[in-house]
Amino acid sequence: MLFNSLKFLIFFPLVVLGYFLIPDRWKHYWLLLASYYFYMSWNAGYALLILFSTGVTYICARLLEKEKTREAGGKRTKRIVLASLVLNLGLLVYFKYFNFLLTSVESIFALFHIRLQIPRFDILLPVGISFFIFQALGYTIDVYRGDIPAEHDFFRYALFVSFFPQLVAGPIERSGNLLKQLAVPHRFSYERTKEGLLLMLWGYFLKVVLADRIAIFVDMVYGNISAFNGWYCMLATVLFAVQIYCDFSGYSVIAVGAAKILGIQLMENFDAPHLSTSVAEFWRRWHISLTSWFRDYLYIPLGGSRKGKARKYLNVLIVFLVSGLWHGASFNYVIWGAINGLFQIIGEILMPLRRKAAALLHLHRESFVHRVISGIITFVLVDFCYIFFRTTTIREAIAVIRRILSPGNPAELITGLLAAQNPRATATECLFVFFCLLILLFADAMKSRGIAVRTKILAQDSWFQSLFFVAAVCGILLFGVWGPGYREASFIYFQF
Amino acid sequence: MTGNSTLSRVIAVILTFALLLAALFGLSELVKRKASYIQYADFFDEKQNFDVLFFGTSHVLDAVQPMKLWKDHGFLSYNFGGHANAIATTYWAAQLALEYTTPSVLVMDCFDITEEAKTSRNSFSYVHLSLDAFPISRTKIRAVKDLLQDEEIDRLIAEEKLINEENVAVIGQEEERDPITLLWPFSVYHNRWSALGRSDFRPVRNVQKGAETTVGVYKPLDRRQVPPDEKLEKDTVSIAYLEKLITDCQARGIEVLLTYLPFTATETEQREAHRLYDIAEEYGVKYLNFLDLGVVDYETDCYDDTHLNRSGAEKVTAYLGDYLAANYTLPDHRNDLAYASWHGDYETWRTFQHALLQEEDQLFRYLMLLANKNYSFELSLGDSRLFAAEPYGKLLRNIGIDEKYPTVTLPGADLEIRVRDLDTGEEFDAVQGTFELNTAGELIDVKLRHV
Repeated sequence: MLFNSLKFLIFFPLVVLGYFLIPDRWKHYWLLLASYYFYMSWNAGYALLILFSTGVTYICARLLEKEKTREAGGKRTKRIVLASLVLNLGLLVYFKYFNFLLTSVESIFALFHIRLQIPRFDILLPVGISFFIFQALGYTIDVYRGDIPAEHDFFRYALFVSFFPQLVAGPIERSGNLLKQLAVPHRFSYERTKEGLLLMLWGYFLKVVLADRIAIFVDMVYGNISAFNGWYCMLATVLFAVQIYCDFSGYSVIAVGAAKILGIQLMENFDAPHLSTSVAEFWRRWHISLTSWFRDYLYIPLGGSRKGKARKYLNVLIVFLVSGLWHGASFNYVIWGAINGLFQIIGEILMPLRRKAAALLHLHRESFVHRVISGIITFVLVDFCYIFFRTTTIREAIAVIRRILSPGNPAELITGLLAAQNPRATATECLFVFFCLLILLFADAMKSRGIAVRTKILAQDSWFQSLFFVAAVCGILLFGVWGPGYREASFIYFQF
Repeated sequence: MTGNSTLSRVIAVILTFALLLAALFGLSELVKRKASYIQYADFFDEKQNFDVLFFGTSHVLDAVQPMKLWKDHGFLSYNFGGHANAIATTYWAAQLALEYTTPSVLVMDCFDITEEAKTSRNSFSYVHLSLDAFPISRTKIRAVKDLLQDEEIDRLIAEEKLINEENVAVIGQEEERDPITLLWPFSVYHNRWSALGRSDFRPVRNVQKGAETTVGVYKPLDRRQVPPDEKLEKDTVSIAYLEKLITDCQARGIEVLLTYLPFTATETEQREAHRLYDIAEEYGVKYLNFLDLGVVDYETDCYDDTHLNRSGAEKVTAYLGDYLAANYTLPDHRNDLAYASWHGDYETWRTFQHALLQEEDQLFRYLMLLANKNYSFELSLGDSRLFAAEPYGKLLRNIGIDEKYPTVTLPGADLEIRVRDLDTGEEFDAVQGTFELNTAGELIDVKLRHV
């Protein structure tokens, strides 16, 4: 059940209605039921997976708590944490990486001219498995570290792992934030509901209006690279950065908005990342819940920056390699992560040099022009990495890079537009996307200045809020890419 | 929170949702594809009961002119032909139309009774043309449900015979086979926002009571004639729906006339036409097989291989009108004040028909359009070579002019035609033509200008 499906638009109001109508003591059971229904709408069997992960981490946390009260020392607690890690990551590896590992083994043997043909399993990747397993593991480590007490109510904990707004695409919540919110029943709030709805509408705008429309062009170019010249590839690569941002952040914002209506504050997952002026800053503002998860549960345990520069750079590289692998079982993702890590390391190594150069040239690092130039350079670097993210093989990624490096005739972009079946409609859609990008830029610029546009809207008179709500819903329904496909050109033929 | 603020919030929410519904309704009206609505606007606006309804495919759309039937016989009819409609789609279009009117006669053209699919296999979107204009109702929900339970289309999809490169269900399809598209057309038409044109803001309704007029002349292929005893043997899904339509109509007291409208039919199609004699006999209904009637001249009356042009429509409509008047009890409403609006509609249609001639710049189409019993014309011919150049010779003979027609001297032109409407006596168009000859002195083109 995707957020942009009719099912969800029926499901969510019913859940909200039920939540605020039933007695307080039943509220978290209701949300748990709704969350499992939400997850099982993809595949009923998924319930077993999430239940397994929930059971393992719940038991481990209770055991950890018991061990701590006994003050029996570190070894047993470490074993418990290790058991939780192995069982959960084992599940993740099996479902997400098993076939990838087999392919990798075959490739390694092939280097020594040994041909292996290991039979494959037909494994279906369960939706959101990487998200809920990381969330559950984070909880185990938090309990192990003593940051939070173990949750005794199994159902409340199960709700923490499966809370439907953020179950399948994050934000990956921290137990310290979410569990305590789930422990108290929430009352209906008119103001909070309005804010939640505005957030959801913004999310739908990003996902359905912008991301899915841009995807049409990006998919067209990336689906047949050889048919398009370098300018097309360049534009598609730039637009892919926007698409993935709108897609992912749109989904996160809908999650935050939906949870807010239920009275739960989820963490923000994106903070105008494409306005960053360095790759390191980009990663602090992009998929914040995952980046901070890796920081707290991998980078710092590895030693972080406490063990010298060389070790720090190695740790950064490890984190980014793992992050790449987390995104998908393919070497393309690994390379995507590795290049991002290298950019960060190189950026940090060159930092003194850059500062010196700026001082010599009397450049003010905080000036608007400097920030714009740094922003563009950062975008180009991050966008370059996306080539590996968007393509399915390294060969394909190299083909895209080659095309971009020898772009050909830029006029082909315009002639291509005019050659469309309905050039006027295509041109209108291009202008529309450009206009939407300006809206996105404005909202992100406001956000980076600490201004949330929604609070400005909510500060207006109620008639304005009503009009805005109506216009936003109509705009999304009209301009969004949803429903059964439709191509105007095909409707023209009626002479039969 | 005080009681007052709660009340004001409840009112604000109700008003917001009311405004939202109104805005969505307005948007739906704007972006919807207007084809179905403009075609059936006159049907829904009609206060009186229709006497005759015509159903079938585009063959019916192009061949039957209800306004001519009004002019000649005074009965009320509407053309419900649908582009590429399978018989099952027509069955449901008829069921929907019969919720609004009970005609004395339902004329059903039975082209493509061989078809096993319930909707066009060429394009699912054609169903919109027949169903969109009908508001949501239990019958419409049943229609949509039934039309999408289509074993033939499912089989073709399963065999990947109807999947295009975008994995959309059917080749040439522009939308998924999803009931929501037919029950809530906004779900598919909202994507039209970037392609809205002037006609969306100022839709022009069909002034031909559902019919269409095709202006063109085409010489179709010659086909082998199939003996009458060769006929479609198997029972098909389309035949089942046809039989259901006949029995439904008979249960409602509506007489059914089956037709097989003229075109140069393939052997399979001729076998269809032959099978229909059996069906008509079995159900005790009349059947007109135009393939055997010789009403049209395929060399002058075709728009393409399967459709008639305006000249063909004139002949078929005239024949059908006479047949209906002779074989069924149909009232003549021409002098009934309750039907006065049809006189106004006829004037609109007449203007529309005049415009076809006034805007025509090709002589062969102009001559084809002159084949209209409501027109008289004066033709001055300066050069008899026109008879030797086809299709002009045949088209001239089609309007009663042969080689014996005298030539005259025309200053500055080779031909002049003045057309008069017989009802009003008004000369509404005149053209002059200049012949273009090749070096051998043969006519290769005619430049036509309105004077």
